[in-house]
Amino acid sequence: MAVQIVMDRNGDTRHEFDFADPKTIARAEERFRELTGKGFRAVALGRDGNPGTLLDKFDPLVERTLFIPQLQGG
Amino acid sequence: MDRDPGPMAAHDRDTPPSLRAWWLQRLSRFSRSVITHWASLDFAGAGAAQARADRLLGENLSQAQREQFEERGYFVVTGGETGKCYRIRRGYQMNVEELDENGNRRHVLCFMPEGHLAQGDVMLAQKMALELFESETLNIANRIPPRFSRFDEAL
Repeated sequence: MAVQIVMDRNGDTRHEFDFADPKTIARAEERFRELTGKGFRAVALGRDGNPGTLLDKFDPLVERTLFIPQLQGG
Repeated sequence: MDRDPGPMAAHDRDTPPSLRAWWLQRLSRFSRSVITHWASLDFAGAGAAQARADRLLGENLSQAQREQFEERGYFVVTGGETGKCYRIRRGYQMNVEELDENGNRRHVLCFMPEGHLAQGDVMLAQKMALELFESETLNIANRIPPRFSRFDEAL
């Protein structure tokens, strides 16, 4: 199982999908496009606090993807 | 000695009973609406969001950063493009500091993710931004001279 973690007002919302299930993969890819289209940054989370990798396209093999809302200056 | 009852008392005395009743009714309605509004606020939900965000932050810090954060209330990250060090303190804004080579504050940086996120999420987003898209983040962030920081210089 893989998970997409979206930062939001609830802390985060998690959407799991199955590597072996094309239907859930398609939904995950759609969510990826939808969120990045809104300005979220997608990050493949690293292990043990390592920075991870910025994703510019959906990769179904990434185990944990974090979606960060667009930044603004304070 | 008679005390001056003040202008309000005079106002009450002069206000016709029906108008006073109307005002009292309005005041009572307003008080009820304030109480209803406060009762509807999801304080429990905010606490749960904070707890989830703290857990997510904790899961994505290194062991050293976690210890530093627990002991000192901040952790240090390295900029992915420049190798500069940044101190991220507990907070929502004006909580990121660019450090010089001696670990002293060079600037305070003010940037955060959009939306009303819990503190742990804000700090994690700041960490990821500096590590993964540093130059873009620095372009967005407002730079504030160190003397305006709301934090004492860390030891």
